[in-house]
Amino acid sequence: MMALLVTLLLFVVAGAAAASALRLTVPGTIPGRIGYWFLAGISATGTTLYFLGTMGVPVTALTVGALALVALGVVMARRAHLRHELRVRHHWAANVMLYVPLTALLATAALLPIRDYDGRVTWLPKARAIAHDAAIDGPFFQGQAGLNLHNEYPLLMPLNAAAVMIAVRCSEPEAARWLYVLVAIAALLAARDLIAVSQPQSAGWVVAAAAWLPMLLSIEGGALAAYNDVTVLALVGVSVVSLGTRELGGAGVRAAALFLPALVLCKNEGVVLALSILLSFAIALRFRDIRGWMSVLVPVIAAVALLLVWRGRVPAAYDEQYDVLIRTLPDVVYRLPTALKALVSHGVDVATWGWFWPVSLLAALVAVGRRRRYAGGPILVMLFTACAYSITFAVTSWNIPELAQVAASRLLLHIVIPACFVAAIAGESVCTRLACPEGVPVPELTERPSDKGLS
Amino acid sequence: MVRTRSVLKITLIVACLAMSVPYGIPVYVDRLRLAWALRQLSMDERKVVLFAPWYQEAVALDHELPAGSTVDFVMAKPAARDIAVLGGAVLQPRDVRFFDGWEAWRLRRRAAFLRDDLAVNAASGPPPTPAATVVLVDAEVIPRFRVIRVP
Repeated sequence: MMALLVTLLLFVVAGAAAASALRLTVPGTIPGRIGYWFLAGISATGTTLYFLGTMGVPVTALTVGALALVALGVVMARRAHLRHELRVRHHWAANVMLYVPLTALLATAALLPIRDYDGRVTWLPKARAIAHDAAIDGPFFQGQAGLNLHNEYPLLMPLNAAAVMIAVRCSEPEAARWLYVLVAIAALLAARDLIAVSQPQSAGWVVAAAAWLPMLLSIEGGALAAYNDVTVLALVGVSVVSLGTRELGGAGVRAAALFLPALVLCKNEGVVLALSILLSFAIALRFRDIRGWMSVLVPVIAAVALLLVWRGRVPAAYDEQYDVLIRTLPDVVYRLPTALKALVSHGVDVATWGWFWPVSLLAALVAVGRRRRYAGGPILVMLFTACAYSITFAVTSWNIPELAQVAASRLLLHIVIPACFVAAIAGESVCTRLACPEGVPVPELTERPSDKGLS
Repeated sequence: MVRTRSVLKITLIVACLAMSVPYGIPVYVDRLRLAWALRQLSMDERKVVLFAPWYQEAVALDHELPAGSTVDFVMAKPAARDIAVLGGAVLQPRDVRFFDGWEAWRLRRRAAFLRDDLAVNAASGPPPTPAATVVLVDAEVIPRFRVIRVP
């Protein structure tokens, strides 16, 4: 219970501080706002600790306590700026359909331990080592104290987990248990409110449907695991919806400038996803507002640089060599159809995904058919990500069906919220058509000229 | 017209929920049922039920070995690799080293868990010095983690 309280308090306060400092527009409903702050909190705390750790500052109780105090100070000083002007409402039945699975998730997490293989042997040992050594380049990361599989994997979530372990003075995996579950819950709550800003009628239902996906409860990679794929889902989701919702204006761009660097520091896929998000919105917006685009690109490049500096200090062990993999691409082009087929075959596995991906594809076609300008960005993100992951499957030396068996659904999880956004856009367009039949003008949403952002 | 709109809206909502809810309910029920069944056990006992009995032996070893000691895990057979890696995580933050059999242990040659031609595989660096404790790991013999007295 202590770990749950500390996890909630630490990251919500840190997120509120980051949101007020960056003048982010946060959701108006209390659950949505807390969820958004939580995601901002893991992004801000993890990125700050990564930077401090790389600079040689020890990750100790003093550092974590100082960060928490600074965050509290910022919140107190700028409480007038804790804006929550995104007035959204959801149908009560949509609320019930969302809160039932989220409550079940919490109840399950309270009783079941983390039991995914990679969480136990890859990610949690990193967090425990950071909490023990107070460093991200200590003996464990130098190969001198225990087995560190994938030594150069990014450390955003292990750092956050270590912060909780340090705060509750317990380095058992259970201390970090809530962090991973709360990320999933926060992602759905925050995404629902953010999507509802532009798609008020459909957002609640679409996100409620996503909360029931069997994949969300998968032992490997789901919300009850420590695999970090759900964190990638959350960071991709809030970034895409923030950039794709023009009512957010400049606040959406600033939000992406917080979440996308965190995405880079979360998993190896983060760099590819961050760049595909930036490219997608640049294309969707026809390269207008280069200044706004650059204000997101610069923090992303800074995060990549931070990752490279840290990687320069630790030896690779069981790590991919991306330069070697990319060089092999021309020789393995013939494997691409097999890779794409493997990805698609897992997407249509109803036991894992229900009919989520076929419906998302249909929604994308509807959105494109009805020329919904909101849909361009998220559809391109999904398209580029699917291409990037197919190429990844093709260039590895693994047998593609075997690799897809363990990885495809986890990777598809990363783009669930962009898919929800597109489904909500399509649903809304159908609803609007019903409300305003042919010949009746569809009311345009107003834009804030003083705070114009990427979208 | 209004009635048609309402019917269409409800149809859309039902279709939206139908894409995942019928498939999610059995999974949620399954997880909740499992959690409910284990509610009266301690967390360690739940782990023994969920992970398999090796976990209990790894925890016993964790209590037996002094904190901060170095440990050599000698894996008797390839089948012991999984429980060795998982057991090694239980012993953290001790320095646990892994060897594929006694010959590799004598040569101080660390085990390589993954072999990928296009990746960096095992950690580089000098061979590890002899550890304070040597443990033979065998998935098919009880106890699975057996402390060996090395003369």
